[in-house]
Amino acid sequence: MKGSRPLPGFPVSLGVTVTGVSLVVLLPLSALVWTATTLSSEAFRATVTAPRVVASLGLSLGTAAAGATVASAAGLLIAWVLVRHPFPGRSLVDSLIDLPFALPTAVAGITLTTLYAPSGWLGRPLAALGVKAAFSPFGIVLALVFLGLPFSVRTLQPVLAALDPQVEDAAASLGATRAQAFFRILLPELVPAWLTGFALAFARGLGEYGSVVFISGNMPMRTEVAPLLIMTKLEQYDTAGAAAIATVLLGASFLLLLGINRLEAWSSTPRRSPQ
Amino acid sequence: MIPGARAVSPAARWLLTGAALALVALFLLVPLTAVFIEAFRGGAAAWAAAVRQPDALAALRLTLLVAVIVVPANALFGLAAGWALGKFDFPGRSLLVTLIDLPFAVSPVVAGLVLVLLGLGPMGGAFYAWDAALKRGDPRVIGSLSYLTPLLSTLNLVLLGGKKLSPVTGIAMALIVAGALVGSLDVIRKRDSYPAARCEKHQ
Repeated sequence: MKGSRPLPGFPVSLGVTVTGVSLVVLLPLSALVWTATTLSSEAFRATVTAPRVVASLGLSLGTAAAGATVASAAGLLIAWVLVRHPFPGRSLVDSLIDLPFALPTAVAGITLTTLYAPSGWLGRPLAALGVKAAFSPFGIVLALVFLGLPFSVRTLQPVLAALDPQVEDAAASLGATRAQAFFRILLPELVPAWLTGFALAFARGLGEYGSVVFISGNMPMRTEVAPLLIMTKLEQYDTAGAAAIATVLLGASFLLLLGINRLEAWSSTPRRSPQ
Repeated sequence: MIPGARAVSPAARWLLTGAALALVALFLLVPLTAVFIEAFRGGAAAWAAAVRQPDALAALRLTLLVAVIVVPANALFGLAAGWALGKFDFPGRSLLVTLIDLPFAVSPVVAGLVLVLLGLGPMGGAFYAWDAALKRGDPRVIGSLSYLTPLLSTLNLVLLGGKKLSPVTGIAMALIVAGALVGSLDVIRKRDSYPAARCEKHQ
């Protein structure tokens, strides 16, 4: 495909895309980095290595990774059942998946906090088990799972639906067990979409503010996420300090996302550019 | 079809379905129920009064207006990006996808203005459009298109935020034009040399 380009429209679509990305992503981000550079390198280092900042960055990265992992695992199961095992009320459940997209994040945050607070519907049984849900890192993960779930389900669903069931028949006819067919035939086909879903859920979780501030409790050093710390700096008119933290967060997420997308491109290369 | 090749024992099937439904109930249905219970705690009359407040009406109107601006822009840029990313492989493709993913990670950082977007109007519209698109459209193109949602909403926030022009903006503008030119170089140089369009073989 690379050499001959049987399809038209590549230059135009790439041009528009690059223009859009420059306008909407690169432009604000370069302004961000520009603002951060108004700090001297010592001040920058002092800002981003302050224990409170390091703790919040670690918490953000950790909870985003955990939330995206759980959402990806749960998403695979839900997508699988929705595509492969029709049941009464399936379309209703299918529409419910998009709920986290449709619900304003602040509403989601307040609702989840009410639910998982020690007196809430779900918080009370958890508290009885000795698990503190709201106002702990675990609560942040729960909120991020809620937000990440549709990304995982919605990226996997079309790929699962497009898989030809006959390849499983073929695998079985060649003596593969059910598990072998799943892990060696189906899973490799799903991995690119799965990774995309993970990357989207992860990125969303890393920058999430609205739903997290309510459930986290915002205790410095313990449950204060990086976006909140950025907001705190902004409220104190420390724009450069906020930009410095944002730059580190941005760099980290850029590298992680780039890695995931490279992995995704690599795992789907045989399909995308047949030689 | 080989008998039993794809057969799942009823027990396993119900176990899977049950587990999936339990997850949906726990993570989605329970919060939704809680929202509705909270909204109607004071009765339907209190709900109606709250919705009819001038502030609430103004907020809803603004939300709808933003949605009307955002959606066509989304469609235009999304179509282009979906086509470029979904149909072609080119150097830097992963980088481009990553840049498109980035607004997810930085959106609250870029602007507290994101609060403007909180509201059920455009969310409901997006919810409906997404559902319809997945049912009727090409999932792969839509998958790529969906990348652009945060990107374009951020663009609108920047525009509505009334940022001033600065040297950085100028540099970025130049970069944009350069990027667009590089992207269109092929079509400018060899407009006639494309092979006749033929059916692409997927998979």
